Amino acid sequence: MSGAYALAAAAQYPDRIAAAASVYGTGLIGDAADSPHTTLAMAKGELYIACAEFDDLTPLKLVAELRSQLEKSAVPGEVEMYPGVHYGFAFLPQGLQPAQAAERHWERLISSTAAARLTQTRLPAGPPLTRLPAGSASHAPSGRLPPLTRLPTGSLPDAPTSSCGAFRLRCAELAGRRHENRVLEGAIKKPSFRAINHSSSRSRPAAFSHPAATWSRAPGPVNP
Amino acid sequence: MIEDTLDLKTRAGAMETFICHPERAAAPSLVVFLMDASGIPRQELYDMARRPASVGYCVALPNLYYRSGEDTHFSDDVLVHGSEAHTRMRAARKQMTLPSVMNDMAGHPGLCRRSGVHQEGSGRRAGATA
Repeated sequence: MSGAYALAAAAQYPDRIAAAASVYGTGLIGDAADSPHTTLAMAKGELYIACAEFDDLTPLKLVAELRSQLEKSAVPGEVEMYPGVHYGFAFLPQGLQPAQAAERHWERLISSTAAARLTQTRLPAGPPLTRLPAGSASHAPSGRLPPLTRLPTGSLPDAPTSSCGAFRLRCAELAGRRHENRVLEGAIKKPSFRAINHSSSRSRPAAFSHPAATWSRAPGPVNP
Repeated sequence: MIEDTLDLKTRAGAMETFICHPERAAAPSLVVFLMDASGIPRQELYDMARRPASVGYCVALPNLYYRSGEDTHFSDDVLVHGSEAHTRMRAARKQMTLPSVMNDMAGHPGLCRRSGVHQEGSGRRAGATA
């Protein structure tokens, strides 16, 4: 929804925004006079536009046009198409989208040229932060944290010690592999993002729960 | 990680904004993370905001539906066309014209200065998002 706002803000506040990104944003190209694609050239910061291969709202034709508009604008940036994924790929993978796409978009955002410049910039130090009230869930520690200590060697097993544990691990691996195959098949057979997107935001159908979780439960009656 | 939920004053009212930033970064740069259609409050988006904060940014996640009042929590079927939640969400989105959101953004770039992070908002819901 907000990709258009991010790009428009980079154009409207060119001296204050060092980088802007749209991740499967919608409405980037429109008929309105202030459509974000018309103002790309006003930005001074780096622009990054990520698009999904399967997206009814931003089909590949529009992706190509965005790329052309960005190249014409001479603003530093990139339009990147993520193959094999649908609108919504940045959300944590929960069986519907490959994890690599979500991680790839984080990598692009965090390791962009502008991001590297920002994290290296040191502004003059201001007064200290006001601490949140003690006892609130997110309040900062009041003093220096104790140094990290290394655990004694061998204190944590790096492999299951019982045959039961090894069995469960193997089951989870196998189930995960089958699960991946099912997701891939689903992606090929059902390219409509709407059907997937509706169930990908909050509610999760039981059929898509991770199989590893199923395997770790106590076995129930078989074919009651 | 330091987290807070502030009401930032804009021309249109008080914009609820989730803020998170690292405890040890000297002067974090600001990332304004603009939400998706399902909006906030939503743990999924708070988790996404925490990720850039964990590598040194101050992240602000404003509730862009604030013009529709404080109750902008939509049920799970918010993306299902024709549902009651979808109708409410569409009504909230209609108020998000480009100029109005640009005005909302104008309030953010100074937010990240260390002196401002916990002083500009009311702190009414401090720590409530954890």
